[in-house]
Amino acid sequence: MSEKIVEVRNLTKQYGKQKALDDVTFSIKKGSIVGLIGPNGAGKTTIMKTLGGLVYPTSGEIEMYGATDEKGLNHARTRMSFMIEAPYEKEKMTARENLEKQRLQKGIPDKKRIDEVLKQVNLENTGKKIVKNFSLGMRQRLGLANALLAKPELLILDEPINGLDPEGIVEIRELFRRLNKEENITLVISSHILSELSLLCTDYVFINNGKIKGVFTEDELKAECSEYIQINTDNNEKASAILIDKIGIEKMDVTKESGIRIYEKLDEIRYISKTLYENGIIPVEIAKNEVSLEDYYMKMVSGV
Amino acid sequence: MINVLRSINYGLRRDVGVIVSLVMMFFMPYTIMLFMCAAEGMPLSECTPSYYFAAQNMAAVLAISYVGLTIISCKAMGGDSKDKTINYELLSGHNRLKIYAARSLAGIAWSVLPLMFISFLSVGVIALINGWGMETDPIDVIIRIALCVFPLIRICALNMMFTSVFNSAGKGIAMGFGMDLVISICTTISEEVFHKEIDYGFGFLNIIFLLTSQNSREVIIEGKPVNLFDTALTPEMYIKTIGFAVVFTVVYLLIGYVVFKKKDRD
Repeated sequence: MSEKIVEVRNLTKQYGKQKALDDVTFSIKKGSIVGLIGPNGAGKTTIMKTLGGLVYPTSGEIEMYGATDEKGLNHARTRMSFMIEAPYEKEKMTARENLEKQRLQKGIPDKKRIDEVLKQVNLENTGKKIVKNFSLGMRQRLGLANALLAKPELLILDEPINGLDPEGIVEIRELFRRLNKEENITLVISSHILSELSLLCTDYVFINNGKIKGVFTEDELKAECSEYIQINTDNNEKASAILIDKIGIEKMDVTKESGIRIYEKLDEIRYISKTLYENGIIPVEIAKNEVSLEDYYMKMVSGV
Repeated sequence: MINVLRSINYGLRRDVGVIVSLVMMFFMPYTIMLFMCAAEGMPLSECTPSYYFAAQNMAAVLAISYVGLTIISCKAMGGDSKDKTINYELLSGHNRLKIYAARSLAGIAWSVLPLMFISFLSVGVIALINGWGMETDPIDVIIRIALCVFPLIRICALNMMFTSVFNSAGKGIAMGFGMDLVISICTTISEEVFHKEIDYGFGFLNIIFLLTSQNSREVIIEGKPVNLFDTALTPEMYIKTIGFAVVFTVVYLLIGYVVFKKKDRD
């Protein structure tokens, strides 16, 4: 089992009467790529800010690299890099000047590191162009370059592919994969682009209204997003009873909105149809479907 | 802390507002000298020998340079707040005390120290151009200017406190200027209505008390014109100038730190 490098336990953050985080508990394993998934205002950025020491929790505990006290957490943060809300950018400076300022702040002795990270994010040819004239994508890349500057063990990135063009998204995805596989960097990424996260992440944390809605590994989520048989009949209540009694179905959801969903005996669609018919139920719809990550996301965050 | 300080210095060196303020502060003594000559309608060599400049005009130089001092100190403390790049100092694992200390140090080092250097340099340059003038003890003048470092640090700390409390260099600058205006009004009311002079503790009063023309006059001693300060440098002046400045500086910086420490960086 992989070593847990970050553990968040019962974390609550309250602004007045509003709970931005409500009893949040999850952990980050070394070498994983964790996707933090939730709609705007769900609490993703607040979690990241709390890990970064920008926001004090109202209650709960954070453990990072074995440390729980302020001094230890600050030391742990020297092994991590963040890009939260806005990427690091002084608008009137060039990319190189921005990184030089950060190099000094982080106490990195090697000046050549700036060239290395600029090359990694394809910003090596920006010359004297100041950041004010950068596109949104270029700014995101600069933020990533800054995050990579100190060779972190854990990267925490808030919406890192926001503003990137499709080509840029592919490049950055490959960069994340490379950093994870070759340099063994653990990543925590929040994003609204679920399809992107599903191509990258090994672990998922679903959050909404400050509450954790589910924590899954890649395999667990694949299982949850599996195929099912969708059935709608003239009498779903009676149909579901027949499915249980006559066919022995156990894994099944029945809702007014979606009808009946069966998650087992997926190859017996004909037999199911025939059994329902023989018992006086007329199937209006019976088909094999698949739960997409988007469907599952909607189900997790809004209960639909 | 050293790393944060180096990073702040790198940023301030590239800040147009800071550079413009420093240039303005550099030329301020000579501008005031030329202005005084024009106002008196006298040739340059006669109207401002260096002693006269130091004793009569230095308070005005420092008071006007207050604009630059305020801009620089507020930018050092909170120039990185607007774009939230200050947050990356915390995210890199520096604790809040070290970040605050580095920013306070940078604020003082980038505003008070250049202003003191410019002040002494201008006295030297004007002495070279126009001579020292009447017999005034140069040591006395130098000590008086040097003593100004304490109230200047106090003023700088007040600006930085406002910047920290409002988490904005712009608001810090506005509050710094606003406070100066309030102090001027209060001083006038105190003097005119209550006939009570305030010499220490607030705004530029201490500097004016140390340096202005109200405080120095020309007398003839043994047939020679001598410039005398009305109040000699007494131990009380040293103690009150330094004491008030140190106490208020500590109080201002502490308030600023408590706010910086307690507040979430949203």
